[in-house]
Amino acid sequence: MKLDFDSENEVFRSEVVDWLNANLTGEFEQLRFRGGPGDEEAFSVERKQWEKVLGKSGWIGIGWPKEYGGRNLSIADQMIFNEEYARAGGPGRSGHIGETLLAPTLIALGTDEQRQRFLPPIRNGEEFWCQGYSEPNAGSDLANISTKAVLSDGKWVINGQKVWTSLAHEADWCFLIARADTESVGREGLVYLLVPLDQPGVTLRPIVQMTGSSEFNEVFLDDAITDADCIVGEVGEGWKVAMATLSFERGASTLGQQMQFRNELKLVIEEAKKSGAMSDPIIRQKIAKAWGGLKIMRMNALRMLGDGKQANLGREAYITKLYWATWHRDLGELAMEVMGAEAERVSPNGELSRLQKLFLFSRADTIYAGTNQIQRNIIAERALGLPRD
Amino acid sequence: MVSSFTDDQTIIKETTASFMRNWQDKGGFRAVVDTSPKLTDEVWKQFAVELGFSGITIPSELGGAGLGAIERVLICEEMGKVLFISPFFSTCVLATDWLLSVGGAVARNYLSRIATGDLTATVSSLENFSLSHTLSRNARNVIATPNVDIIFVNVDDRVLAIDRTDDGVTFSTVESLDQTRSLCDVSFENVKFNTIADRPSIKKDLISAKALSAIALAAEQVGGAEAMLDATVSYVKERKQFGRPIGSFQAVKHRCADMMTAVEEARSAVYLAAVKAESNELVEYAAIAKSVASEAFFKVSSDAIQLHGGVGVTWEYDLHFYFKRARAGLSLLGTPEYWRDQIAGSIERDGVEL
Repeated sequence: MKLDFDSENEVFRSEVVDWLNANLTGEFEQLRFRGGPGDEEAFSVERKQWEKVLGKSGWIGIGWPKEYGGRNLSIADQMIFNEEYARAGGPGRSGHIGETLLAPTLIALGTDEQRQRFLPPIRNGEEFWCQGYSEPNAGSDLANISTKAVLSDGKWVINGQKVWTSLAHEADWCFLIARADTESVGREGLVYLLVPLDQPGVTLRPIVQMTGSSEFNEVFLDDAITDADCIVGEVGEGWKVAMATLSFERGASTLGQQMQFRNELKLVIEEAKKSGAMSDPIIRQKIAKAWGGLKIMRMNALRMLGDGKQANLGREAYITKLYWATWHRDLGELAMEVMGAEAERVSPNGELSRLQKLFLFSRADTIYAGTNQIQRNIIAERALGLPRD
Repeated sequence: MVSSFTDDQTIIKETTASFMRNWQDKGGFRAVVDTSPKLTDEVWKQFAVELGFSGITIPSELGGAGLGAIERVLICEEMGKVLFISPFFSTCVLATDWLLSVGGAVARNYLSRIATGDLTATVSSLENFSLSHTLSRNARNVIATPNVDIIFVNVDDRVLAIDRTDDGVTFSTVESLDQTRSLCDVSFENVKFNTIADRPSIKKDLISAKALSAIALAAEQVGGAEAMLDATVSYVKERKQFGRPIGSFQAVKHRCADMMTAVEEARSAVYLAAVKAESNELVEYAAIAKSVASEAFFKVSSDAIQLHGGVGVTWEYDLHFYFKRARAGLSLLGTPEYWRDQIAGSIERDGVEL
């Protein structure tokens, strides 16, 4: 066993580093370490410009097959790209939902027409997507959705409400699941539709979070329409397609996320040294634990990568979400602790500091994309084989 | 490409696993604890000589296998699953790591004897006194069976070698809570000794040796924790209350999920530390492994007792042996708090990469 990437991977790594050094400059310099979860409102216009720069140099869809404009890079190279991107403070990706969730779904399950229509603008950083899954009565119990879709005169007509829709206010399109068979319950009778957001039938209402900023939205669908062929899979296959999309959430972006965590831990440590908290024995224990947790996360990801050839997910894959979410939430608490009384002070311009945002936003980490409780059910039932409720 | 085991490493792991299954089939630790401690000697000969595992990390020019921390971790993990009782830990972990870091002709000679399975050994550090030309002192809680061949003793800047049979040396068995790892008190009365190392840097070398040994201990703890997880998962699938398996209740499921998370976290920590064993961040990575794995083993073995209900606290079920071993392992070779403070110290002086 070794932890090093192969030398070809390392050659690729320097290519990435060189490109970032050459391009994250000038007007884009100010975007370093901005955007991303907890900071999505920052420089939203400039970050979309940056997406085009990424697209022009072929850094979007690097794992896609070449025929769709990708580079067909290995998972290892994709991980390296994400790691170096985050190390350099590359801005939070406005296009990641389209690139990492919708595009792989279309490549796997879409039609040729859909791929030709939707992949190039994602690949070029020109069209942005959001994901319409959760509803007021379908959170952890996602299959309980009640948004309806009816095919009428060659168009899908959609009625219902989505919620917690990240970045809908920045998006052009939404992929969503809706109930086509009104008699159906649960996972049956669903459709997976691609819906344009700029239309009279769609109303967005931002949800103000405890950070004071808005990254999630409510999306109201009142006779919203989309073309008949904007369905991925067949009628009734919506659940299957939606789950395929979620399966792409894991993977290449992990090391990038961890590099962001490392940047945050670095800030916490700098703060602890500045405030004197670094000499507090309890804080020292917590900082050491956080450092160890970060290293363990990376090792876990590398183990997962090493297991890639196996058909079944390894146990280390099952713990990923629960582990990082809990680690990150703990880091948020530690950030406040090391600041002491200063933690309470909000700057005169009203903007929260990065560590204050970390503390507040990380409360959502253990909820979205499968709560910690749902993650434990999944681990118990799928990894350990315990009986379902 | 990354982080998968080589074929040779897999063979070592599987060979050890099959040896351990065989040992367990013949009564395992119960047979040793209840009836015959002597069983250990025969089993040790097979393990050390026939499999050649006593020299696993000893260089091949000294007759060892010339392998490293990763291979030893795989062996220790399998030993930990069944609470294998043998001189491996004191001889091939503690003493071997000391000798490798001490270096020199005498140490190399001892290493070659350990590699053949001919010599069992242990170590002890004596603090707060000055050595004269003979040693008179008691060493408490030394990890060894009373028939161990040799003990290496650190006093100040020196490492001494003392034979069990030397005049003035008395080993007496300590009745210990954890019956699967024998402890001795050793009294030295006017004992003549050989000095095998005497240099100001010795303490630092022995800290590296301790870190290396801690990785092996952490691997045992991962194995022990995994055995407790497996036992618990089987039990909660079988045991019925309220007309259904208790493993179908979320209160039970979630605790099992946390147990598995702790095991995998510890496993990653240990493999990572083993990979980093030859780097200049050995101490920090060993610190992660030892703190995380020893806490995982304690948590998982105590959760195992809770989820087994009443039978969990009986002598008849094996859980308590693991639980006691886990408790002992929290303190052995440095507590989690000690190791985390080492990490904090390195972070404080920018001595480790974030």
